[in-house]
Amino acid sequence: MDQLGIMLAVLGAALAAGFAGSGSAIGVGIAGESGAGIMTEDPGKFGLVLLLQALPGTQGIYGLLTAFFAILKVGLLGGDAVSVNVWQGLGVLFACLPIAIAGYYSGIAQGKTSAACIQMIAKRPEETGKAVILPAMVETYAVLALLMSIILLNSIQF
Amino acid sequence: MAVARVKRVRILSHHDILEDVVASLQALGCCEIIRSEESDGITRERSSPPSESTGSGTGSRGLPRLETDLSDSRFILRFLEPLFKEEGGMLERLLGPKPPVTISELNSMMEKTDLQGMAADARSLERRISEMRSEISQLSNHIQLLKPFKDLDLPMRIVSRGTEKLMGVMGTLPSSKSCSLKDSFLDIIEGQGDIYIAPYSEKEQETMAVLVFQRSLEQQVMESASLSGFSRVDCPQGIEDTPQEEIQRMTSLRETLYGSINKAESESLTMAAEWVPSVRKIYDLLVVVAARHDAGSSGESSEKVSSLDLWVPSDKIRELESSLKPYSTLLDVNIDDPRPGENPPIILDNPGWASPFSPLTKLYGMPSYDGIDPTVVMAPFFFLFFGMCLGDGGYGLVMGAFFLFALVRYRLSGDTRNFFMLLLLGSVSSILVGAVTGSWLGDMIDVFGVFEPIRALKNSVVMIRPMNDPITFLAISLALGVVQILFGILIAMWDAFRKGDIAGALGDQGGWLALIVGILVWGASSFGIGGNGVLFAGKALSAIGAITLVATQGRDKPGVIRKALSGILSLYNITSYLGDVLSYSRLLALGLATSAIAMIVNTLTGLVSGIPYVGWMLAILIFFGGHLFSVVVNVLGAFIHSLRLQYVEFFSKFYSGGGRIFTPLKFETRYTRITGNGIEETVN
Repeated sequence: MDQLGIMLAVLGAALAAGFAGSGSAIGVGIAGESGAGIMTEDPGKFGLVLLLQALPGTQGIYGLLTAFFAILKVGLLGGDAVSVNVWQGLGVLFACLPIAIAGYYSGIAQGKTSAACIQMIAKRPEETGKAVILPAMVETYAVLALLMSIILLNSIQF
Repeated sequence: MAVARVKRVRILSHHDILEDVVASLQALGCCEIIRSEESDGITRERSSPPSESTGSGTGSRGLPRLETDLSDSRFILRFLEPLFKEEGGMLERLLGPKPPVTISELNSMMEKTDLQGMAADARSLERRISEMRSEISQLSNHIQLLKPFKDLDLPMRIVSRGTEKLMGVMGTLPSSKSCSLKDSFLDIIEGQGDIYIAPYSEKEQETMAVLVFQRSLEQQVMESASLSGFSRVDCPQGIEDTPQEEIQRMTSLRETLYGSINKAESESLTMAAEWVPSVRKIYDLLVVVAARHDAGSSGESSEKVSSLDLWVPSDKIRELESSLKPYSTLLDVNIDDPRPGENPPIILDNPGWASPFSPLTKLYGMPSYDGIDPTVVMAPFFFLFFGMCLGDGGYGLVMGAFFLFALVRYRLSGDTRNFFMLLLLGSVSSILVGAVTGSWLGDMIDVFGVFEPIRALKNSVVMIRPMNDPITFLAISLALGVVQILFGILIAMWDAFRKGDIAGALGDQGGWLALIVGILVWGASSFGIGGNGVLFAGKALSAIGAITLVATQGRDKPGVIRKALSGILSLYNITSYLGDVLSYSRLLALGLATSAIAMIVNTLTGLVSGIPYVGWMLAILIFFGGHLFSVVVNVLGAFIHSLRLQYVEFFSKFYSGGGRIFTPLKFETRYTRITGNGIEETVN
């Protein structure tokens, strides 16, 4: 049964990295499409567009981070072998869910906001400061989810 | 917290000296031109005031000439600049110091340069290149078109022109229909003509054919051919010989054209190397002179006198007066305060330590003329928050070294310098936070044996480990949030007092202050801090706050019931304060994320270093690549999120922006730095 515990934790890590990464991928993709459109008109905006396109990429990093935390917790990354029972494994799995879910949806939403902001700097490049802040508003919820995932992972006792 | 005071200055000047006066204002660089809207139409008609007195140089050029010169130089730069090899690279030009020049140097350069001739040369060269390009693409299309018929031994003039009796058509058809086309065609022509179907492979859905027949049969042939799906393609004029010969002729023509394009391009490269440096300077000069013309015609003017209206910062008035002294006999200066209702431009006037933070205020929007400048009050929070969000000493060092290098290497100025200083300060803050939390490239010092000797040193300053004890760090983050939000409310209260809105100060801000502080004290005492007295004080304060809010928040509404209702409803806003405070938890989350990503990089490095033979190489690659990626991502995140806390959580309490940035008349140059006073005679 202790194998099941470990595998549940691995499932959690996989969900965190997979879903948050997918959200980021979709978000960065949406923003990139918009950015490519702008650059057909003005290739000089590459730097700004790249910055805005990168913003929805953080969810993927948060997901990866949580995944690493989870497998580190159950001793899969070297260190002392930990025995994980099913309940602990389930705990790790559940703890990974906030960033998996919020990472997926907020990545997409942030991508849309970034795309809109890329349109905005096409017309008003001087307003880049504001254009960077709007996608960051969306990211807040990914940050909160990451926070919860980490706190939950931290609180599981072995 | 200051917005610099400005004065309204009106200069009445004789036309003879107007240009010199504007030039000295431009050299001074601290006067914003006020454009009188009603006089706009009239003054635009009149070209710049006559200025024989200034003698040679661009001063005597008329406005139309100036505009052609500007567009000429703009064209040359647009065409040649991409071909120009920058000395010392792009970064050097963007950030490096601009070469100093004086106006008279530029003027004599302008005299010596035949800008119009150069522009004409450049234009004809550009036209030649683009014509050759389009010719090449046309040739390529023709070659593509003839390729399927390369085995056809028929002079193409029959298809492109035809003879008196014969004609030919070329076209595409589905490969599957080629037999039926052939049969029906042969039926119609009865031996008087020919058909050639280009060879096709099995995969190709479509092929091409040439039909040659008697002119009299055209209608019949085309009707039956279209039944087989044949669709006609025009054969371009000028194609005369057999396809094979034509393809050869066009290929060699294309080669020649490529050769000439290469030649023309190398010609434009030499042109760029030769001309770009001087045209850049001339462009700068022209822009400066154009701004001068524009400023000179901004006011009203009579037969002999023109007016100039300016916004000038109060502390620069003296400089302005002394620079205008040489002309005092021919002009009149009148200094005034801004009229009520006017919207003067905004200059942020901050002490030196806070000026790196002023770009952040500008990003959000300038304060209004009698508003508060939030730069100073935001600066310490931003400093601390950035450090907490990045939160790693190693990354702080890397980033600090980078920006310090940039600051020293390129003597920057203005907002670029401020911005780099800001990030340098951020790195300092990050180093401090990293030291306190024991994070140096994550857990690098603890996991790699080489750092054994400094482990004790690192541990000696560590006060809290967010990785092991996130809750304490979370509490610190939220406490900082409470402090900043209360501080914001206090500023708003002070601002309301200053403007004489005592009811607003006590009701809006006072009510919330009492309620929030009261609830905090109440909460603290229920955790066992302080005795019954504290508990009572907390309860009382909360009650006072709540009652004040209920009593005052509906004061604009008519009727007692609606007043009371909106008063009670306003208490619901407590949730927004709760949300604001919770938002500060990102300080912990982002700090943790930095350390954790760094830790992952270190773990991976450790894992791959065990691989035999190539392990060390992979380890180096992962270590440097990973940390480089991590520092970029985390600096970006730290910057954006600590900025967001200022904009969304802090500014919303007291700041609204809405001001207009001060844009003085100055040397707006892109490539050079103009020294001297901008007037011809006095240089040298």
